[in-house]
Amino acid sequence: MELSPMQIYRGVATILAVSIAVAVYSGVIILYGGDPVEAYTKMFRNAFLDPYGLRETMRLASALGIISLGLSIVFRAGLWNIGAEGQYVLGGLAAGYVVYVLGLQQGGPLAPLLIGALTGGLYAAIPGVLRWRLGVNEVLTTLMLNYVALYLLYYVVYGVWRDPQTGFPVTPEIPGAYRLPEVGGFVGGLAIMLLIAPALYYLLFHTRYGFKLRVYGLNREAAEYAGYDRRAIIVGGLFISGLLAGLAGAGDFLGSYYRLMPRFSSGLGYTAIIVALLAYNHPLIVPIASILFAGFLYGSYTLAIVADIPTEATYLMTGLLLAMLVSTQYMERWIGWLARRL
Amino acid sequence: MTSQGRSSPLLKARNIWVVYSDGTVANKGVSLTLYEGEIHGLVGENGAGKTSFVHVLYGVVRPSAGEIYIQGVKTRIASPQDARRHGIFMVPQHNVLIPTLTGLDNIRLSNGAEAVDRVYRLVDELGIDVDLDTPVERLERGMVKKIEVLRALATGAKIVILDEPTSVMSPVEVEDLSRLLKTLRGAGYSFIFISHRLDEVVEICDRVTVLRDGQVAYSGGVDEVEKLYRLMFRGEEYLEASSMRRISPMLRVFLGIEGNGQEELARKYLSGSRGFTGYVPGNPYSAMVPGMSLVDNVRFRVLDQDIDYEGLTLRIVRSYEVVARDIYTPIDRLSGGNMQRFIVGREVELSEDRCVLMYPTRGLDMRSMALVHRRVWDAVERGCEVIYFTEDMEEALMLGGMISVVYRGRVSEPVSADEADVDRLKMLMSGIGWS
Repeated sequence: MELSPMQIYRGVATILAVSIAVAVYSGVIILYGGDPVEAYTKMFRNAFLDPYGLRETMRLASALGIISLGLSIVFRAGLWNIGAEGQYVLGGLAAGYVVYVLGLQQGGPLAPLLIGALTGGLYAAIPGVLRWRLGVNEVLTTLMLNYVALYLLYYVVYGVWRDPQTGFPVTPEIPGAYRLPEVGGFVGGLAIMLLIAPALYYLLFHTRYGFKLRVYGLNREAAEYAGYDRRAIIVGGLFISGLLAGLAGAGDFLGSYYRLMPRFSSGLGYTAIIVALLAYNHPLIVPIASILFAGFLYGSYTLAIVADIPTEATYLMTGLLLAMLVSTQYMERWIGWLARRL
Repeated sequence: MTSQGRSSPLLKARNIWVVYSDGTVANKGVSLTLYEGEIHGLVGENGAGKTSFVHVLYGVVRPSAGEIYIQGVKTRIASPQDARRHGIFMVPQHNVLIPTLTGLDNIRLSNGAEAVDRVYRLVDELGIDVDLDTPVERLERGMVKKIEVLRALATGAKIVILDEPTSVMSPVEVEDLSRLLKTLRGAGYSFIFISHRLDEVVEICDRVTVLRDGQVAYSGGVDEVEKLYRLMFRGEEYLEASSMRRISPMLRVFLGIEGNGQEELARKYLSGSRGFTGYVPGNPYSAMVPGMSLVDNVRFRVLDQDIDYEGLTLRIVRSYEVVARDIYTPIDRLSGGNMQRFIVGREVELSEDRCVLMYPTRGLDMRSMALVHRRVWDAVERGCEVIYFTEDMEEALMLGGMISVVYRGRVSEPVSADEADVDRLKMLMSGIGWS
């Protein structure tokens, strides 16, 4: 298949975005008296060659990847779900509800996992319905609902579900029966991500529904011209992305933290936006991008410990990367203009 | 009161040439004289060079040759700011006011407090009926246009260029605007009034300049209406050569400038058809998906049907002479003309019992136009009703079929192309001769 000019511009723009972010991060390393090359080598070693580090990287990658997979679907439809963070938290909360309140034991982690996912999906469907029926911008509604989920999390960890034994703002560790089993020495979430990725690829590129989503994302007017059902695209697309964010939240709760705590909302839902954009919203690239990005994140955390480079530098870089990637569409135009001149 | 014979011309453009970098010659020696207190109509078909000419006056386009004199002094207008300094202001076709603000706030925002005073003075002195205290988005378009005119005067303009101000107005609003312009004319302001509608021009303007193919076909008084519409639209040339026009009641041609109710008419034809109705909208870009291949650009249109998409795409590419490497090429790789022929081809070929084509050949060259016409007739022959909208009389006559003129929401009695009276069509197109 031939690349369209749009795809070429986007590729160039992505490379540009990553280069600028890396350059700035290198600058920070130098400012702190480090050697960028040495720092990147160390990051890579810590994140991928060290067995403990690799497990941590994969743990991070699976959550990031599952959320990004959902986002890649909804972004393809040109809809901006900025609320994955909240959907992730609510997924964890719903799973917690099954464990702590309902105490549903049959099926082990399956029931909380599915209910967590479904809750995340329904939570994202609210902005979907608002968008479809009333034309409310989904960027605002999804973003605002993050805070609702966040304070709900605080409510349960500081209040009703707080562990009475320790008194810390964390919920009690869940019994072993609920825990998501490890697969191949890594968190179960990794296997889930690797299973979902091809399924979503199939949905997006080999079903009519996926085709409609893509058409809607590429030219909304054309989708309406062809008479596509807006509800299925808008509400459905947001539901799918919320479903996966909820699944990731429930998965982290059941498979790696085994409890809820205030830091359960750690910004993964925002980072996943970057991963999806880096992967061109392509479900088969998302796993790779999420593993690489998780490696960068984990590596930079270790760098903070061993080389005194503050974690804030990591946030600086991820923030910068997001800004650069989001402005890609403007750069596309700019690069296109430049290409015509040359 | 007409202003002919007034002392000295306020603005004089002499022998203006506009040649664009792609080689298009938009103006071939256009001259125009505007007197103080005059409303000067500028008419012509789409592509006749009206916009290029006023863009020269407003400093948007630099002329390749020609001079402009303002009050007898040779002047170079390098930019719109420059034009405004010389008292020339252009009111664009589409609203540029901030919709949530009132007219007054808009004027205050863009031109300051003095401008507001000036507008108040004008309104008081001349007894102008204008609503400056309602957010612009809640006003009718005619009122908005009036505010834009006043805003222009508030900046100190003596000459206001109005680019198709009436294109989306109701007749009542047109009358209202006409009253305002005549009042202001009395106060010494001058206007260049661009329009497609001769009936309005005759009613509003003192003098008129007709552009045709980038040249002045007429400039003078508005009393010779008959002469004006003959000059404005091309069509004669074709009349003699086409002795063998094809006629079928299955081909309905609607002739008229866009914005005269074509959208509503098209909607009517799009509903109430049994089979698949092909449709090329006025803006073909809303009928394609950039970033997707030609095949997918066929597929998206008829997704829920089982069709051999590849085969159909190949057929369209071949019979519409679309230049593309293969059918998996992204559609945005094609040039504009190829893209358009592809979209038109897709819709015509997919149509079962009806096909609605809005300006399908706009921007195409003669050869492509003839090709589209052949395919339209192929469709008619296989029993498909074709509803064809065009702005170009020459094209309508060339195509054949049953022709109706569309003007301000009205549709004339269809006449077969071989019996069509060219003069009559021209009259109807310019708004004259409607009962």
